[in-house]
Amino acid sequence: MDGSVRLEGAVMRFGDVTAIDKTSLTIGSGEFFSFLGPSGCGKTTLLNMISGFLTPSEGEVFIGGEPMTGVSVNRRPTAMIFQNLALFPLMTVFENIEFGLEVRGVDRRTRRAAAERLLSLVALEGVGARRVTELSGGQKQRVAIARALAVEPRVLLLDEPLSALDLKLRQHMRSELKAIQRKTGITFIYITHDQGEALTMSDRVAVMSAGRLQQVADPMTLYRQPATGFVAAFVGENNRIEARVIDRLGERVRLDAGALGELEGRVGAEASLGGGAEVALYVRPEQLRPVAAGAPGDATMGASTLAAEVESVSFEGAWLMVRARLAGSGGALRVQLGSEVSRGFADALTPGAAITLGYDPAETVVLPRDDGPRVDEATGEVVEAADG
Amino acid sequence: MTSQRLMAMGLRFYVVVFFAYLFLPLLVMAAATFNDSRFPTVTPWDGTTLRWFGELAADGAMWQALINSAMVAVGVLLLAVPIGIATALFLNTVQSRAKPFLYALILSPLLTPGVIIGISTLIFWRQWGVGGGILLTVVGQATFIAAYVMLMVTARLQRFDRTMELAALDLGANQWQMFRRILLPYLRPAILSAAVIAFLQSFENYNTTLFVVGYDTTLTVYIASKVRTGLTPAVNALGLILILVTVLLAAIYELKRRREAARLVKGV
Repeated sequence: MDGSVRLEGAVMRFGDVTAIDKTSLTIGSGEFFSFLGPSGCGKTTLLNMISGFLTPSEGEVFIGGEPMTGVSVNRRPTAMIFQNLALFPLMTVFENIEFGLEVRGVDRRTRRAAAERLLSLVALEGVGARRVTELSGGQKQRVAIARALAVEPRVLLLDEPLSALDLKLRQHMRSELKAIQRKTGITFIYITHDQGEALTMSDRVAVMSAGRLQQVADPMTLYRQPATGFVAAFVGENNRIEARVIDRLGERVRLDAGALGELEGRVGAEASLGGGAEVALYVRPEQLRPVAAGAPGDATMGASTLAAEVESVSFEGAWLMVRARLAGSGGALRVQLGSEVSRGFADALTPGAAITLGYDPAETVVLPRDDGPRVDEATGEVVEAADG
Repeated sequence: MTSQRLMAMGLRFYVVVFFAYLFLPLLVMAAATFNDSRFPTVTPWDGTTLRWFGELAADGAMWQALINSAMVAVGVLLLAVPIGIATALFLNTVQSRAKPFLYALILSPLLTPGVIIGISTLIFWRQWGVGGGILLTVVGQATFIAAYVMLMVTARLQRFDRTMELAALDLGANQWQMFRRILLPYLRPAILSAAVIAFLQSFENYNTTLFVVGYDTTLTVYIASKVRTGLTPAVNALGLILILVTVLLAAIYELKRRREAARLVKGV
């Protein structure tokens, strides 16, 4: 029995509410797999179906190829790291880690040896006799990992385990988790609403929204070739421009963007867009480059340029973040410029100045407009699309 | 004089009167122990003596009543604490709309006059051939003392973080292992307090006990009977000893609690 996890037509309903719509998915043994989505998208429900805290209303969960219906939580080859860690406060670190072995009837000496080994795996030697209430946040985190690994699960389930830590520690724990996963070869299934976590650690990521999988792909593909408007807006930052297809040549489409004129873009994977289709063009902030005002755009930038008015420029260290308004439509535009690019455009990069921005259509994605999510312009937060 | 000073004086006066009201009777009672008079009184003072302690020690019936009271209290503790814990756990898991009703039902012995509990216990068990005595006293007292235990355990149970239960199950524990290793240690302070309360409630109970105690005698019943047959300061000596024991136990408990609190503060 390996550590693969397969969902087959899994559905979870609570009364009239469908928390998870028919979902099928295979997670490979030894994979670091993340479910990424805003709160309330159903990712924790999915995790609880795998761990056994919830039984699917329909469909089946397989772990290592074996159906899990009727297999109770304490008999599944999974271990969970809870959001609040759920360490046992009345026990020492040793007792916490050994708990899973203790209830399995493993003798004291073997238990202690396993706990010592795990403490060194998570770089916490020497704290075994302490009470967990005496530990720092990061140390508690490591104890929770060691406790879950002690039962030698084939699948480790992690429910936003880093959310309680401060930023520095969180970033450190990312690489640590990844290293532990590589060392142990256990399947990690990670739940998060933090795309940074999902993208940096995972082999593959499933983006979820309103109880459905939007896209399952490796982080690079997710970022460069989002399959739906939701993914395009939720993963990384994106500028969204509404347009209508004029014609299409292979992957390239010519778009009529109304007041913005004619633009070009690349058709998103699996999107079948004919002439006249209502679409949204997504251009990443770092793909936009200033070009000389009024110029039709040089060869490297392709044919597409956008005229805009600079609203604000903020210095972010390695780059400048420019907020601008599109000249024709008044839509918001975010532009991220590396210092070497911005150097030549000091005059244009002042509030109120007119600026022309070009982009390479190959680095954009054009998707059908109907599944586009709404992004709150003020906060940049994704508001769930009504139809998911 | 400002109104603020008036308020402060009024408050001080109130506190003095309050404590006098609480403790003067006890002081008088304690003082009477040492009065060499046939009656438990401080006036007239017939000379200072310790003989009432001797008389108390020689009172065989009193010793028997004390032993009976202790036996009943231990019995009540052993019966009411498990029932109270089980009830609290049960009520905590019930999701039904009947929950408030069940809750009220379980608390109702607390609101029922002790006399009624005593009489109904006696009548009920007589049908089954069980007459008044120590056993029936235990049964009768436990009916309402279990409700106290339930209340105290419930109060702590409501603050229990259920994810710890989930974590234990997830790590492979069955329900019993989870209960024994996680929930029970968590509830321990509440259970210990409940046990102490159960013991004291039983020990001092009179009105229920009177009906179910049969031909046996507990300490409260014994003292009450003494009132009728003629009270001597030996009863005061008993009262004084009980007060001193209570104060001693409370002091030990408080010291322990403070040490525990200090340890926790240092730990966190």
